[in-house]
Amino acid sequence: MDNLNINELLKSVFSNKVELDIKEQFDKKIEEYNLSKTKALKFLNIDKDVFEEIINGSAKQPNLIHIVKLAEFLERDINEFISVVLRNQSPENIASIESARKATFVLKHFDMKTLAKEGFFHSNDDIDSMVGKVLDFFGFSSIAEYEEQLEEPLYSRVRKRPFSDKMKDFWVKSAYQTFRNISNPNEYDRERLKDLIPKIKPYTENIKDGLLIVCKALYSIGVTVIFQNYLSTTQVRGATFIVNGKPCIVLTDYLKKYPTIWFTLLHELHHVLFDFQEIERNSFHLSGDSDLFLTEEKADSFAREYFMPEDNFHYIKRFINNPYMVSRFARENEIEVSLVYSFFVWYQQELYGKNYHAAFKEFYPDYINAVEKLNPLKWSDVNIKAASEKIKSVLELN
Amino acid sequence: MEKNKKTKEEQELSAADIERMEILLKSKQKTGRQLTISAETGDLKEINELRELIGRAFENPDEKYNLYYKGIRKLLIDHLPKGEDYKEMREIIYDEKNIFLNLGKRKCDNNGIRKSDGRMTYQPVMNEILDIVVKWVADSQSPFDIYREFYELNERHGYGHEEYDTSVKAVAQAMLNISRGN
Repeated sequence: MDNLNINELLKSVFSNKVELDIKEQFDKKIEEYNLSKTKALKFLNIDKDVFEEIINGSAKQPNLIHIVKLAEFLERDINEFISVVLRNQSPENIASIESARKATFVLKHFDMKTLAKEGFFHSNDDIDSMVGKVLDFFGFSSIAEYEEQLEEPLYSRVRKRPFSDKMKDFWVKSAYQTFRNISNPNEYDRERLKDLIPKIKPYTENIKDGLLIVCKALYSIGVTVIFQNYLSTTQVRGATFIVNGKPCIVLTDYLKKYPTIWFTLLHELHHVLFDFQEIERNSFHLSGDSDLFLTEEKADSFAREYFMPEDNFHYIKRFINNPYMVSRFARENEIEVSLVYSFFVWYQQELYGKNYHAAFKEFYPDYINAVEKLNPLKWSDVNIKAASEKIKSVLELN
Repeated sequence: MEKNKKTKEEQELSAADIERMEILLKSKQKTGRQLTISAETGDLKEINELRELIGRAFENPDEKYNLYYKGIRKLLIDHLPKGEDYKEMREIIYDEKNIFLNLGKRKCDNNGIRKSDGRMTYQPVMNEILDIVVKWVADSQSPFDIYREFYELNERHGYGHEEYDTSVKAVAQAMLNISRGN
């Protein structure tokens, strides 16, 4: 009874394995024990008609106790015995098991309410269409395939803990499946990444094309970067995956701010450079997820040092209310002006506990302009395969 | 005691720390935009590759072709604003460029015909202007700035500027003013 696997069970129902003839087995047993049928059934306390129904498959709802008793009496493995009983069941009964299985699958993996809000499910979807939607979206033909392809590679390694948060789980799987579809053909080269990183900064100034140019450059050295719209309740601003030995980064618009997207990119690149093995062991790393390993602060401080070290903050804080000085300073440091403001706000909070949270909003460009060329995956998209093709065509150099 | 020990550990830099510092140090050097993606082929290029072209001064038809078509012309096409709205602005910028390549010959000297071809100029002349274009792509990419650069280049060489009617002249003047921050 340890591994009663519904998948296996249902598979065996439809396969043509050697049948176990219950009647024949039963007759052998009573002969062995030198019992009459009536006597045997009396010992087992099973009604004769019920027994007949079970062995000829006409029992509408076979009683579990009877099944266990018979399996015991015939000394058969209970799994095997159940599958034989099931095989004799009517197609309607089998179908009802299937649909219970589907319902469990949806309930177990998906936050239906939140996903409906995201436009992924529709409020009037029934279980069948929900399962259909999920399988289409991820590009699988059965629930079993979904579990084999996504559950196992992502969760059956070192960290066994599947998410208690279904939205996060969904997000992780979408990203993972996207990277598998994109399947970056370029060799990952850590040294080239180290050379490229110092060249990224000035592209923050190019709001329209900068992020795209940088993502293309990264793709050409084996680092795939995609953008996904923030998924409600996940609290994830970015993530690093290692897929087929190559680093893959997801950026999201959590916080909806242009500087945050660049900050996150550098944060994730730091993980790629310095936490590669750790992430590879775990398959992925989510940034902003506080209960994971303690490399977050290092990655944050790297990204901060990269764009605006503390000295620069002390210089600019005197002029922060003079937009001309700030823009000159930003240009001098080859960063977009909103990065100066956003780091100013962060340092004020960190060093002096002052909250400038809502200040300087007028200097933040619309981040949508920066990310739309990356063809972000939308949750109402029909499937990941098509979305991945679109992303790939953007990232690939001719 | 415990505290001292920790401080000492903190002071010792790991290999990763050193690597991290090297990257950050490199990032502090002003690099300008060194990556550019061709609008036609989608190729990613490092601007340094273009700079390499500049060093060569000898006259060579292949080099000259590359300098003009892959360098000057393409970078301007890729980085100037596109579309009908910016056509006049582009024309004014190209005019300044052409005056320089043609060593000062203007269209307005011969009723709209220059009687000279910028693609046939000397290679060092092409190099000089490509240097300016590459620097501009790396630094500002503002159309006003490249106009000012070309304008001042012609001034330095004692060349004139194209003579326009009043409305075009006003646009040209405005571009200069914007770039100079007046």
